[in-house]
Amino acid sequence: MGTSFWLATIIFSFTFLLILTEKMHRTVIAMVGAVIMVLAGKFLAFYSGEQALRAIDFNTIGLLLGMMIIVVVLEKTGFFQYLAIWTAKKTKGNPWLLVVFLGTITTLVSCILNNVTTVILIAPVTIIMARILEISPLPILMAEALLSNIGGVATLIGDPPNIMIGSAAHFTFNDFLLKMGPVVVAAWLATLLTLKFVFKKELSQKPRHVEELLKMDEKKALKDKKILKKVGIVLLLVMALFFLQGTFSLSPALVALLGAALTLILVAPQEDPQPVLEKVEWSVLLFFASLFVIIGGLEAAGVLKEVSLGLGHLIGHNVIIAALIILWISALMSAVVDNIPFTVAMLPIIQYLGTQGIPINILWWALALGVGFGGNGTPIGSSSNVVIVAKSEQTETPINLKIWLKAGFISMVVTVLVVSILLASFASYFSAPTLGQKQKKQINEKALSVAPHFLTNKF
Amino acid sequence: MPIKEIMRPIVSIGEKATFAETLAKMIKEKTNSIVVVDKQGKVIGLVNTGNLIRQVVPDYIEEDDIAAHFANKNIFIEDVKRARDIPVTEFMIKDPVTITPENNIVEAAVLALSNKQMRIPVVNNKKEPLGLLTRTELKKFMGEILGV
Repeated sequence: MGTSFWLATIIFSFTFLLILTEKMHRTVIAMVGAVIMVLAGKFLAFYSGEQALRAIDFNTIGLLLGMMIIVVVLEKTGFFQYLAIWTAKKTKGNPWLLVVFLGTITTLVSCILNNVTTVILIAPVTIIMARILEISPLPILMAEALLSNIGGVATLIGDPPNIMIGSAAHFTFNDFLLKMGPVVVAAWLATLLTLKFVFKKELSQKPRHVEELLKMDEKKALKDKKILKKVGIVLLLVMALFFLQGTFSLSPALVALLGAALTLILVAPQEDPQPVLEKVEWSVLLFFASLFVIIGGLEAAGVLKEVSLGLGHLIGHNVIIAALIILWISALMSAVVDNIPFTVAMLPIIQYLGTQGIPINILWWALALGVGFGGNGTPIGSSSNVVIVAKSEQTETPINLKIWLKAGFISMVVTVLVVSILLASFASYFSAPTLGQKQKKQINEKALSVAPHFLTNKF
Repeated sequence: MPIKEIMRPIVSIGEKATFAETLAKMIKEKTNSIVVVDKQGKVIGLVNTGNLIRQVVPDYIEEDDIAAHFANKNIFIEDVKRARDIPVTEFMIKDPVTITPENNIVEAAVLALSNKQMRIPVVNNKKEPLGLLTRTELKKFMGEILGV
């Protein structure tokens, strides 16, 4: 372990600690850290500029960029508000049914779209409907925050950690649905039941002016039906391609960028897309790219190999215990700090464990579930939580830390417990190679026999 | 033409005033802008009618015009009642841009064009309010120049 080993470790630790303290913006710190890592790597000759570039997972960045462009266009159409009102009317104002219905819509939408956008669009109409009915919006808002985080875990594109994990482990969209889908359904149920128990008092309120709710015309929310139709078709196509991802061996980034390109050409081909692009979260993309560069440096300096060798030693053949440890540590970490840096750091470590002959698929799934559900533990655990708390501030019942711990933290513990039982009971199901990995292997073998290696690269 | 000759009279209110008191004075004086002064009579804030409305409408409605469509009159009435006792210092524009009578008219025109603050209090060297300059005064002045 030479100078480069320790220098890379110091740069990494310093950057990640600063990100966790949230004193400065995470993107700024990460970018500074990445640049310092590459400079150090250049002078000590352990990490070159090209290596840094290769360390960036452009599959993750491309997938996020593509989905962001589609969502920017979609969110202006009013479709989410339409969906929320349409659903709410079916409940006839019953508070518990509102929690279940609006919570479920949030779960489903956040399977496909990013969790923050989902809650930003659904929370205002929720508060307005609750005020019209003169019931507390509190349980419904909590359900929306918690279930947006839970829904995001179900699919490859639901949440950035999934995108990264899927990319590193070669899991396809269908792999996620098959393995995570059932767990998410269990967590959805556990969360709703927890909320029913915690908010017993609020949920027994009698709604008033139900006729006002039923009078609402959800169609009035649809601001631009033409655009909605076009983006709707694109989104359906994108979903279909995700389902067939294994068959066509298309990278998720390519599918999302294809959707983005189609959206731009269908909606306003003559206009400068600048206004749409300005709403893309470039800061997030730069943050992710910087983290990849930092972790790449750590890997090049041999740090991650050492860490995973040590871990491999500890784990031995006890993969289930390892999975449970990863699950709980990542859940507790994500409850208090940003889950992205943690995920990015875990990716190469788990990959190294794989090279030691440990069946790592169950570890990938444990990581995805931990970072996904852990965010529910505190009001700052995920960006959706922060949004919901902010929106609740001007209601009669602002969500404070105490309320959050009572509803969110308990839900988090309950869901992670449920997950622990599922992981331990169905360990062989979660450890088995996925369909996507098998297909990838077949394609690779076929391609290797006929084509030069660059054709088999992932992007 | 000096600013002093085209500015309109200004209405002011003390820093201890509430939402309801500010609104009452603005209605009584038939004005859309009022300056907030401290004990020494120095301008510390400016309230336009827009600030009153923004204080009443919750952010979650203001930020989502689609959701706003579904809010009804009762919600607005409730929100107005809730705003009654909020101190003026909470919703005023703090330390607004001001001009003195010595400033020239082009400077005032540029300020009035900027979207940030279209109504500019005129103050003396001690920051005491003398008058108010809005786009209406500039419009009248342009009309005078052209004799229309």
